[in-house]
Amino acid sequence: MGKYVLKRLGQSLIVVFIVTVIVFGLMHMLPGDPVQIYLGDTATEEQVEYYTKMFGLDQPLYVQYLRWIGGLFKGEMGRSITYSLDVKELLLRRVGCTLSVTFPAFVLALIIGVCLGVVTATHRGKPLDSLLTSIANIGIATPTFWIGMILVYFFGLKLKWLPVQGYVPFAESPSGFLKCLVMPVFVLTLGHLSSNTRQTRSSMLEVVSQDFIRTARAKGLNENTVIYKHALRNALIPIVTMMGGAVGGLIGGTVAIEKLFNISGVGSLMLTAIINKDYMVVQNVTFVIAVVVVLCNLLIDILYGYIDPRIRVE
Amino acid sequence: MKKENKILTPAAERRKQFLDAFFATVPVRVGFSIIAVMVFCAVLAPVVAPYGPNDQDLSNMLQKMSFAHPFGTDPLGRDLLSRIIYGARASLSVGLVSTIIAGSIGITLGLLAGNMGKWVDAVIMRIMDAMMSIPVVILALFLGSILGKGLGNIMLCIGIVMMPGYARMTRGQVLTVKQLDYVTAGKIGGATQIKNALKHILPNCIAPNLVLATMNLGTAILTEAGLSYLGMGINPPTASWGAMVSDGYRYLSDYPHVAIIPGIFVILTVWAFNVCGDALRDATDPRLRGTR
Repeated sequence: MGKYVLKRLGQSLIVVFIVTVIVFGLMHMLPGDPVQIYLGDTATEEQVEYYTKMFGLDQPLYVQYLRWIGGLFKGEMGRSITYSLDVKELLLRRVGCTLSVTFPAFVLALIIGVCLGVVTATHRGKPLDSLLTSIANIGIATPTFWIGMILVYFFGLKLKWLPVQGYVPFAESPSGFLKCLVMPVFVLTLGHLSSNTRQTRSSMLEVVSQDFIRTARAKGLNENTVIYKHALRNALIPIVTMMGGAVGGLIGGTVAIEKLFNISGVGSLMLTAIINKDYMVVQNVTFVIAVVVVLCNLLIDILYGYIDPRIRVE
Repeated sequence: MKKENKILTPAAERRKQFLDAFFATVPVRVGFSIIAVMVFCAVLAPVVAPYGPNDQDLSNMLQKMSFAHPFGTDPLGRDLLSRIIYGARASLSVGLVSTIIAGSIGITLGLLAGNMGKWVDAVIMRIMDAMMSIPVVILALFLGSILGKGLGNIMLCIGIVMMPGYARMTRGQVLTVKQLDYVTAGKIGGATQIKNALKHILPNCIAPNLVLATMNLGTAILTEAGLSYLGMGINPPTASWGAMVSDGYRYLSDYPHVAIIPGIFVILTVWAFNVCGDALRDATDPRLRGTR
């Protein structure tokens, strides 16, 4: 087991390293000079030169890369060119908004999705199954920004129940905070909820057809025990294994949602930073997101390695 | 209906069984018809569309639905139906081409990784893992802003983003198939590693990849719509469903149809491809029939 953990840890470190190379490389392939974008057309040559030097952009690429990585080891993330702020501070300021949308969405999508998946699997072929599965199939096919827009139209513009856009911090007004989060969270939940439902359903159906379930039933166990204690526990393995990727998907999904609801979170930060070529912001935020995703995958794998010996052997 | 007792050749018999399994449910028939109609309209857009996609008529802007304009007009007085028909061209071609790009590079990499093993495998798969740990939207935004806007660039960008899925799938398949007796037999028979990989292993990796590709057609269309919504998609004024939703957002309170209708077409198309992908998987793997 120790060997397995070490191997996975090593792999994860390599993956994170490759991510830094990819992000750094892509960032420096973007056309346009960030200092020029920041200063505008009216900037003099001296100004451009001064700022280029200040941000260390006059150095050769490998020096810039090593400086960035060296800074990361010391916990430093450099300065944003567009915002003239420390990237760490900027990130910390923005992460609250994004987490208050993604975290509830993640939890809701997981809990409701698994429950609906079990319901559809146990009612296989009945009208309830057909109805829920069809809704899930449509849910997966729906662009988040579109469903968000429909909600804005009905609940924001026509019924005026909820604010159309914006974000109110919890400390300022708890009820305002909840009100402005209802729609973004719902929209983000919907897509992941649908895919969790489908995944749970197919995984449950596969497990239910196996011999040990027949044995459990033959022993005379109560149907609820069979479904929830025997079948669901095995069916959850592929779903939980997918969670690492789902975390990445949720963070990516907030880019469109933060734009639609005008929330200044990490997603909208990334969007503007890519447009403005704000090197340090893009590099560090992508790095943090990738580390979170890799860490989730690693934890899940190690956890299952402990629980389920079959995975360890593979 | 009377059952025919015609004797079929084994190949025809298998084909019939496959088609029966594929078209078994109503949603698949509906989905397949939707795709057929969309493809027809996209190919024959100039004939089918009542107006040009970029014909502006400022005296008729933001019209509601009418006989002259079945879906109304947009803020520049362009006919929405015509733009949706031309938008189908963009969406379907992005879906198809990006899936072909993703599939061909991904399958090649997976085949290499699975067959060569050792460090080739490690290098390829770690790079794929790294690409997969960056959220799709963010990676696509990166590539989109490097390559620039435009139809061809969006295809390439979405193709690259979707590539790791095929590489992983193919590698897994290769590792299973490699153990099978007939591959060993091929090796004993003197087949070179390349011949073994291409003639014996590759054909057995095609079916699951085809299923993945069908489903990815929908994902690609959805990604294109998302990128166009974020302003990194196809160049205006070329019609794109995602950009149409985004443009219509400003007029949402008074003219909701401008933004809502193009979105419905995204849903219909993506749903149709997903349903067909599910059916294709079930038809190729009878064990799974009806489980998803």
